[in-house]
Amino acid sequence: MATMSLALDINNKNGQCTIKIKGILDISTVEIFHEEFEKCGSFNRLVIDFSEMRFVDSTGIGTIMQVIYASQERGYTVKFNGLKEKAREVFETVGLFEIMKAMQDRGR
Amino acid sequence: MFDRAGVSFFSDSSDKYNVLHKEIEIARNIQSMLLNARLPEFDGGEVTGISIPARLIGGDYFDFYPLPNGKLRIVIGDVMGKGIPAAMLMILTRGAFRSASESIKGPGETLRSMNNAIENDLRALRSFVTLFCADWDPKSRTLSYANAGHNLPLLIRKKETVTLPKVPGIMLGGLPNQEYKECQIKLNDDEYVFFYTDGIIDAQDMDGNQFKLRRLLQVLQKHDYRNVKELENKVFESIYQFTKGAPQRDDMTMVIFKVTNEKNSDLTDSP
Repeated sequence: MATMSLALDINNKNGQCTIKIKGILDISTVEIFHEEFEKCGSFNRLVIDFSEMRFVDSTGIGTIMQVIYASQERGYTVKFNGLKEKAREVFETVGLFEIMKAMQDRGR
Repeated sequence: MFDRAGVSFFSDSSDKYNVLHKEIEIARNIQSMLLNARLPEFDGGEVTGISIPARLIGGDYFDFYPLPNGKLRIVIGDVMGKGIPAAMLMILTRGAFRSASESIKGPGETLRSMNNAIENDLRALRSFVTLFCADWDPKSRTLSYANAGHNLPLLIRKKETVTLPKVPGIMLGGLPNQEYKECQIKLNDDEYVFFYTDGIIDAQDMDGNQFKLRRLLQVLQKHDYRNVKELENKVFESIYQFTKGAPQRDDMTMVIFKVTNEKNSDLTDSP
């Protein structure tokens, strides 16, 4: 069985935090994301880079949703970069982009 | 598990493990019984459904609800996550579906009502559910459907297999006060509709390669099956040949509906 792992490259400077997801964001790895995300500190803009994400399951999608919901309370914007076709299709199907839009409209 | 003074009833950890194991077995039986209840008999078609959890119990869901007007309501869904937490929310979803179906006219309204009923709970529990709901009308031979963030079913015709036309709608638990649009499609004799959860196409072999939609389409398009049960067996056969004993990573669920020209006298059976 292929190794299931997640690594995050996090760069937080000048009010922008960029999180690059490398590997698998699923039920076996989301705790790593949550722990690292809580250590990020403050920022105004969050960029999530999916270009090296190999797989996402529903628990991974739920984790991204929590980051989007938190944007309203903590007052930051969220931008997605590097989404591949399969992940974009899954996010589109479940309605993640609509939730992101609704949260950001409410935050304005 | 604890008395009022906070003292454990269990003498050692093996007792605790045995009780837990037994309770999980009972939960598994409850879920299996709820999912695999008697298949409905109805005019103009046949249907089957099966759910195989990745762990002892799972978060996938399907259900059938014969409506008093002679229509059959079909639902398939996927709760975020796996195992016991997902199974608990699957039961919540089932309750909301059955309760909505008692009084709700169409699939769009059913999803709207379900989202209104459980959105708060799902948000508080940091979870969500994707659902696809369809009503089969044997008189007009029409399938009306609405979607809450679930992958679209496949329509198997003699010459082609295609996804059902897209209809917008986000997952249950994503946002409050959602409206779910409906779409309709007319079906002919011997056409099949294949509803499924992503565990089917995401099934993996030992090297992490996925079964994928194209392999599923190949099985469906062969037409070397005569009825819904035979097709169900063919799909699983094909998945297991592909995964070659690799551990199942996600719950796998499918519901297969076939249009026939047969009449059933059992139509008005209550669920």
